[in-house]
Amino acid sequence: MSRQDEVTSEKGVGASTPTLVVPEVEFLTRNDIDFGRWDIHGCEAVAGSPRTQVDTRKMFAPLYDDELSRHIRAHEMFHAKVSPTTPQMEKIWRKRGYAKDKSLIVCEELRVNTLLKEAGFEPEKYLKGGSERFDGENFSRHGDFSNAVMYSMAVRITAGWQDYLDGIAVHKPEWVAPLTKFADEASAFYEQVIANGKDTENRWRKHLPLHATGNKAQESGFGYTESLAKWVETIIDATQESKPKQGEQGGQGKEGKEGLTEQQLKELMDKLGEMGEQKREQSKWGKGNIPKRGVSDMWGELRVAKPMLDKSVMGAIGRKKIASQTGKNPRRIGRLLSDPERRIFDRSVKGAGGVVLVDTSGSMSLSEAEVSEIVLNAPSALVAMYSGGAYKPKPNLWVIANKGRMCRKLPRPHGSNEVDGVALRWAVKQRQRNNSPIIWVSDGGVTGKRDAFDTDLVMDCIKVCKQHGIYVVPDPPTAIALLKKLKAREKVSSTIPNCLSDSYKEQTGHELVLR
Amino acid sequence: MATKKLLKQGELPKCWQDVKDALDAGIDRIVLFGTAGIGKTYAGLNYGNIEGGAHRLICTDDMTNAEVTGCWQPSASGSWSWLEGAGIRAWKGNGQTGGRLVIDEIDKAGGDVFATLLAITDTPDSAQWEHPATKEIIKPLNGFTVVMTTNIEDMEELPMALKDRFPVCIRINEPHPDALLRLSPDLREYAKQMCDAGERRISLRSFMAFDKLRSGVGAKRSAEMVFGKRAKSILDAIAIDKVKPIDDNDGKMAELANALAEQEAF
Repeated sequence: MSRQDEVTSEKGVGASTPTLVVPEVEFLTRNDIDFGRWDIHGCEAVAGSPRTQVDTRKMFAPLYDDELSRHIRAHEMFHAKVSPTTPQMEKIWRKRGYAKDKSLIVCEELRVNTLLKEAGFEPEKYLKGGSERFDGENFSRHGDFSNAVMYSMAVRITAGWQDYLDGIAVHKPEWVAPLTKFADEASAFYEQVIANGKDTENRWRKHLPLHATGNKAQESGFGYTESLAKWVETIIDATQESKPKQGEQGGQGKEGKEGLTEQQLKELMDKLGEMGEQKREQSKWGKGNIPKRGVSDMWGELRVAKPMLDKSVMGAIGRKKIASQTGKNPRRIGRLLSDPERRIFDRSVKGAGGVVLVDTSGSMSLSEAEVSEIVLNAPSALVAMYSGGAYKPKPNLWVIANKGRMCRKLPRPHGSNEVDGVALRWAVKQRQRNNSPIIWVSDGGVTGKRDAFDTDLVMDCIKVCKQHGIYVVPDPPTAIALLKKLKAREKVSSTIPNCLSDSYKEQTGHELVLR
Repeated sequence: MATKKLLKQGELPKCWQDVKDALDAGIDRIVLFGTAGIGKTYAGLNYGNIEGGAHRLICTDDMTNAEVTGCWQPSASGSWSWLEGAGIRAWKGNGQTGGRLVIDEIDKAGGDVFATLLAITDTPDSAQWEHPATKEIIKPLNGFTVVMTTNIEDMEELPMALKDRFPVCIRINEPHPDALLRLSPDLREYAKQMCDAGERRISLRSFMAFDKLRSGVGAKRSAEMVFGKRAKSILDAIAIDKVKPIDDNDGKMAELANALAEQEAF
């Protein structure tokens, strides 16, 4: 550009005060909180800058008079109208434990954009963060499928969707179809909820609106966000875990080492369609409504008892001594001749320890002898049995063996389950080292308070087992066989009870894989 | 929602309940302060015991004592007659009980009017006025009450002498429920919220104008006419709150709903 051009352009541009449009947040109404005056602050129209703090009534949004700024303002206003406040998030939603914050956030973005569209805005045409292509490219470069799915929820109903897919296609073009399918299924779920509300033929069936707000979980439309986040998380986890190991037949795809194979992606596409339709159908018929309580509230209260451990059991899972070349006392002097490495000293090796948790509910029908047999095969491990059904203060979990000692007479179980999930979490806390094995002996027929069955409880137990690599076995003979293998330092794996595998398949469409 | 609460019979928002209770309890000097156009004067003219009649006085910089105490007026016959002002009329009431004097915008009254108003609103034992024609000493009758309204937000701005005479000051932050009922149901909650929205406040009168206009020219055009530059943003906010696009027939639908509601009530 010549100097002359520069001067001309400077003259032409000049400086003017832009027209600023302030969002009219004071117009918004909610059922759970009363609004008053809001503090509105201007910010850039780029991802990360606009935000809304509902409880302190602060909004940061671009104030320019254009369609992009208008749509960002409207998006933020929808957050002000429907999203939970920070105290609600803390007191209600986070505690329920159905989904992680990250998935809740992206599914909430999708809900807000769905509502935005419903209110007559055009987010698919105007709403954009600006970094979609870069983010898509970044996820695909690092093979981060789960985050790619999460982000696709947030940008599905925006003008940045195509940019995002273009970014994904740079390194993983094969991801484009499953990501689109994932986001479309999620979007269709919210659309179904809206359609349920408009269904004039079935007015007698009460459907909570997608934009509902309330101080109880079952009164808030955020429950749909939670439900979707749970669905997305479960399917992503199941897909990731179904990755075939290297060298196995299923692993002969394009990817092999990292990411998902073509075959897996194809399977995922089929399952997504099926599972998505199932989820929509449930919502249509009023099933799968927002549960009143979180999973953590559904479990009974765990009351641990430690009866006197008055009998000794010794074994190899605990501490033992092995031959060593160095030491103080040559206790193995014979090895001077027999051992080429002359390991005449002793060295203490800590055992892996371990925790064995035995479900002694009625459905397991365990005899005292069977439980004793398990204890005898798990020397030096901590063995506990649990069974709910008794009123406070009676205990429902008993430590029956620990550090090579066990109790002579086993406590009498009550008959119900009620505390499986909390007992598993307790067991995780008890393990001696991070690599100490945990074995759960159970038929998988888990129940919560008042012995009530719920798929969410089963999924919660599966989640704990997956997270901490717990071995699951259905009966004492299998448990004893596994313990013997552990003792011999052989490779072991879970024998998954039907109750767990069936529930998991029903929820995710995938086979359950445990350690 | 709050609107639903307002519409329940006999139930009032807190500020209005305070006003009602104070007047019903016989408190005879009250200041109602808060934003304009939310029914403070309406309450002054209608709430409590107004058997002796209610007389309104609107203060301005240019007003004289004539409006408070009275003035001479020429008659057709060439003589002069005394025309009593609102203050004296309220003192006299209906002849048996004193009336209600409603003084609007007290903070805008000039020095001498302000001094006269102080005398008029003085305690009944000290208050008196001499009729210039008859020399009659007039005192406020029992039951004389004063409701003063002002738009100032900080009561510290009022002169000490006035504050001393009006021990009960109530901040009105919501429109009067009866006034809200004159709006279409779909606009009531917005009118209520926007009355106390600080700098971005929108008066009840604006909503009434919008309500009336939209049934004729549609929501979009009437918003432009009433709310000006804010129209688009306001319509966006309404669409977001209702989770449905703004329809130009909204006004007609609201009118129809109102008519049906009235019919049902009848």
